[in-house]
Amino acid sequence: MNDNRQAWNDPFSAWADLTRSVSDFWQSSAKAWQETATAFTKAAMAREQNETAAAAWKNLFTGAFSPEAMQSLGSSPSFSEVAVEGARSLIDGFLRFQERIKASSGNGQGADSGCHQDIFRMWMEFHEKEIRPLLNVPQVGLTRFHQEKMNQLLDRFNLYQAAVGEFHYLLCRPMETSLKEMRDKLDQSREDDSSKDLKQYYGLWIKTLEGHYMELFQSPEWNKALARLVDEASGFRVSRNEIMADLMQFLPVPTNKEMDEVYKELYTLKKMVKGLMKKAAQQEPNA
Amino acid sequence: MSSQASYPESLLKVFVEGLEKSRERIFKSRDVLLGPLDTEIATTPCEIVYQEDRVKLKYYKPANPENRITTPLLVIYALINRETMLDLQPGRSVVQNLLKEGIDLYMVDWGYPTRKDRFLTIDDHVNGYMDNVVDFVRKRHNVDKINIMGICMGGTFSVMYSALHPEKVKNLITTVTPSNFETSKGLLHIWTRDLNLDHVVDAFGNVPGDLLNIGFLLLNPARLVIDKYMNYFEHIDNKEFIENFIRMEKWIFDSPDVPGETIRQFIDDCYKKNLLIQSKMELDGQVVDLKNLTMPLLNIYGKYDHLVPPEACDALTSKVGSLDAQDICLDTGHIGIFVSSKSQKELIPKVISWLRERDGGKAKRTKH
Repeated sequence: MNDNRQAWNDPFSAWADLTRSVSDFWQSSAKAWQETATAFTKAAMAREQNETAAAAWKNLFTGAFSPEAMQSLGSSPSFSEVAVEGARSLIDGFLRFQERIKASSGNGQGADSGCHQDIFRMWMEFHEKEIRPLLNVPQVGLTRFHQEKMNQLLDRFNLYQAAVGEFHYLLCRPMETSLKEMRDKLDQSREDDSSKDLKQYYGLWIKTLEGHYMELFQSPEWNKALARLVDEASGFRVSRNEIMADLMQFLPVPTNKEMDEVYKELYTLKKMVKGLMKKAAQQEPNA
Repeated sequence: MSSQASYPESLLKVFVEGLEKSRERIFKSRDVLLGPLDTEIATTPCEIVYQEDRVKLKYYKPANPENRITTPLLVIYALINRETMLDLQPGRSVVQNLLKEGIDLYMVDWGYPTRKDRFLTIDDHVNGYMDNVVDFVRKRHNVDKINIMGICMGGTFSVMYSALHPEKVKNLITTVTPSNFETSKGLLHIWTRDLNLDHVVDAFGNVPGDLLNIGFLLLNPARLVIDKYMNYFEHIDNKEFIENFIRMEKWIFDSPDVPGETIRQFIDDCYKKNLLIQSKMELDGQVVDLKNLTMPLLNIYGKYDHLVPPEACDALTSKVGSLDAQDICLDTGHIGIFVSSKSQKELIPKVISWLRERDGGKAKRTKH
């Protein structure tokens, strides 16, 4: 309580505390999300690796809601209760999500089937149903704008991670398929006892890989994944830039937004002047 | 069961032999990589004769003044990558070959856009910079019209310019120039359908060159990310190969950012709405009517171009107002058309003879 009063007396120190606590939270969350995303891709690549994803999920919850992170959040008024509730809701949602992954991977489909891509779709659904509402909880108080932006950044980061995971999965698929095919060809060549030059095998593999990539790149699923990645990467960057701009307000440097306003004015003025100069030059010989 | 057990023994033997050879190659490569290498690009001497903002105009003096083509030629390169590709390597330089044929050569260097250029539109490039450059060359040579050669996106800009200012263009040459964007042949055409570039422009301001490079590498990762460098390693002890390889690498990854509003309009109006070929594209309220292209037109493209496939190029000649419009399809790709020695032996003589036939004389009224 005393701390809070002290913070109100010194707004700059309050802001510093807030940014520190949010940054602590963000750091631990980001680390956990990073691990989760990596695990997702791994899980998508092979069914048996679902356990890895589950372990990463455990990391996420133990990381993002660790006592240290919760303590740092606790210093931000009005956030701790929401966060505890959120954690509870998240864990429930996570358990449901895990059940679905288990059901999906246990349905007898092989590693090449589309079931592993469902992981990304399920994750998006989970995020939209369970995490996004928490991030959209209206914020109150002096720092509400900053907190909302931070939540938006977290939202964007999640979507970006999912898009990266899906993109990475698709990009690795031709590699995996072509290597598997090459292994079969090598086995075959052993049976035939036909010895080929290593370079020939390499040439064969590159050709196979190229073929699989060409097939993938013309597919609608690739197009959608690429478009999603570009959208989410851009969205994440915009959100991150907004936070950076807020932080930079405390430094004696102009933000991109401010500079863009100047550039826009400069562009308009230059265009106007160039147009007028051209008109004047055209009129000159007649004068 | 380990996967290694399934490998034939003979393959392992070959693999070990390969390793031995690689070791020798790496040993020899020390002399090549640590020794002096000539990897300079764009070495043909030129003069900067005009500059506006970041845009520069390079002038190359003809090497053969006796057999000169009287009308100067202005080359408009794309905003993606740089015009140095036309002067990549001595002995295999489009610039040097054109100079040998007695051409007064001007080339636009679009420079490196910065954040302040993000609001520049296609109109600013076409009716602004290009028009000023054309006026400068006309005045310098005291001629009413000049020849223009556009390359890739620069060719598309040249088509727009020539349609809006036909009175200033004597002959138009378009090389690997997309004009019909409604095709499912090139991956770029397929991918851009679902891409929302608005978000990228909003997030980055200008579209970063590195981002575009990643996109280009993705067009064929097996060749461009793996095989290309395997080939580099294969020839790592060959000085000449390494020099040419590095020159190409320097050019490929010298990628200026592209002004945000320009690429936004290019993707929306050209790739998504295909307005140009329908004569519906507008620049600052002016409609780009291809029927205004009444000057002789030579449209050159590559049969194996994976970026701008023939289907994206060959519709132009049938849509223009000119009766002297010709298509030439060469057995090459998007870059090979300018850098391979075989293509240069075909491309340059064709361009020169076509220009000579129309230099000063009346244009032949033939449509191929």
